[in-house]
Amino acid sequence: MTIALVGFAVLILLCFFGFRVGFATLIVGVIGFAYLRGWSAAFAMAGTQVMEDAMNYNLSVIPLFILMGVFIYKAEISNDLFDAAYAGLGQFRGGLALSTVVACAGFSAVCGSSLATAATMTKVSMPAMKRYKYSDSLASGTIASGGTLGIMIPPSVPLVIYGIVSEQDIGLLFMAGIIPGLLLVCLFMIAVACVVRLDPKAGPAGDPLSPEKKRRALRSVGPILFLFVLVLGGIYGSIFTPTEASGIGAVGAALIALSRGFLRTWNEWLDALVEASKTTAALFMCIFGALVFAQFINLSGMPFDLIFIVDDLGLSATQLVMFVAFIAIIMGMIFESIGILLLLVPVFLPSLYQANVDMIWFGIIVVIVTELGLITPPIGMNVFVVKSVAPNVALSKIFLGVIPFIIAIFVGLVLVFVFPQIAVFLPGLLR
Amino acid sequence: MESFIKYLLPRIVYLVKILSAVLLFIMMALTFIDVLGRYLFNAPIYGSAEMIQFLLALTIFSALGIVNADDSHIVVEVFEERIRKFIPNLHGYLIQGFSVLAMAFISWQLYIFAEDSYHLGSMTTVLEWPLIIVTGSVAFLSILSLICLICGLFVKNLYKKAEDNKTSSGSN
Repeated sequence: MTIALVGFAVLILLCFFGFRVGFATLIVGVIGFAYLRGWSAAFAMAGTQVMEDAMNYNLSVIPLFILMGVFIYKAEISNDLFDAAYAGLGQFRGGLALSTVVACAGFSAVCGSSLATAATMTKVSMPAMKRYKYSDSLASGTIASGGTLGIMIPPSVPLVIYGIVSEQDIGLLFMAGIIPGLLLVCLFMIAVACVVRLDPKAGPAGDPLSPEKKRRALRSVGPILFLFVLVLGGIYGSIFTPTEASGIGAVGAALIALSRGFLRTWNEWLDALVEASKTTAALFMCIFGALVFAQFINLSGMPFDLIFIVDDLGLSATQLVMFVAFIAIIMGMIFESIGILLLLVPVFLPSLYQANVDMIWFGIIVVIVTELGLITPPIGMNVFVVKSVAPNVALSKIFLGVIPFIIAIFVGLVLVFVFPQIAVFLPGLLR
Repeated sequence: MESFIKYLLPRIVYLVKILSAVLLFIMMALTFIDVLGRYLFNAPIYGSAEMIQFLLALTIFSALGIVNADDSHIVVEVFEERIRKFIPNLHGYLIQGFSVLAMAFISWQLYIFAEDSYHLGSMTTVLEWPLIIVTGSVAFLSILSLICLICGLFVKNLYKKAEDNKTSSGSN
């Protein structure tokens, strides 16, 4: 156990220093493994692990869902999503912020990336909110927080990675993400309502749309809704495997982009495909590193030592999950979501199994916690994405603006914790 | 040497861009056609899952060349900026040296893996293709991405040096 803790400490130091996360985890994993079993065993393990992970069929869902997100992003569909949400909510106080939350949810339903959701929605809803004199903190906070829905509402890349690491069914995890995702949408809307109730000037009502414009706006999101139902419905009905669903989703997203006048040239295709493959490669470098590191951690016996420690401390399943969630919150201040899932989950996996924790439910808990990490300082990736797209808004205002949503995520976390059915009801129907 | 690297890097990067894009496109199309074939014509593509596995590995390692060339790997940025300001040169050399070392290690191990699969005459499970086709290509792409990393860092340092010279001549 000591050697594993030393490994973690060295890894965190290297990451703080600025070493590339994938390379650092891989090298620390190899050195740690070599310390326990010798260099030749460590080298062989690393080579085999990298090659096997690179050829893992289940992981092929990642590039295809990333590609689906890139196509949707390129199709500039976010304007329609925002207009459709505005058609229903725009005329209420805080209506543009409410519309932003709903549009973020819609975008998340076809794009598994929080950063892409935040970046896209900043371009779309920030100018509209500026026009209606929304406070900078409410406008930017709503977008940064709405973006976090990207990793909860399926298809979600972090849920796929969690599924691979914890050996859980990805289809079940996607199903489990739906109700908590909708719950968070409702909580975010309540957060907006509270802010505008306390400070009505922060979010005035928008102008109502004409019935014709409303109809047109609602009609335009039909294809998105169809794609979401096709992908999720296919998995839910066991018609496709998640990998097949991701392929169908990517083709569907490409068709939507084509129908909207995008992806009409070789260069547009090349841009989209390269963007997706590049994101995939950077992500897989971290996956390789983390899985090599996990081999070292497993060999050190740390995950099994933790079982005894949990036993000795007399921790119940609930207390154990609370403890892991607490560590994940701390880690969320340093690592991004993928890092948390890859480093934390394997360590506690045996203890969680031993305590009979429902791993689907736990996956949702961990993803909600990582959502927090996306908007809390010092990293708060979504906050920085909003800042980069809207450079005139002070960083302090964005961080101020996300506070009501942090509270909303905490409420969501507590609700899912106290009522696990929120997460496990839909998967339960499939099991 | 400088001009050779400046000539070489964009060409390798363009090549791996095209390659990764084509591979990813085939992966998407193959998945889609397989499902269509199965449900509409009752004729799924034989060994499609295995082909997707190979395409995944090839896509990752071809795109790794692009990631390495512009050093766009995932980084924890909490203290990096501050440390870099404090020890700019040492920080740069350490980070870059470590990345090259790690990438060289990965390439070396993948080469050994490929060599083993060649000597053992390993075949893929379903399609019964020689495994060396995939493992060899992955090892080759990994070495190519190592070259991209080294050339990318070289070019980056050249630009940095030029920037520094500009700044110092400006201040003079």
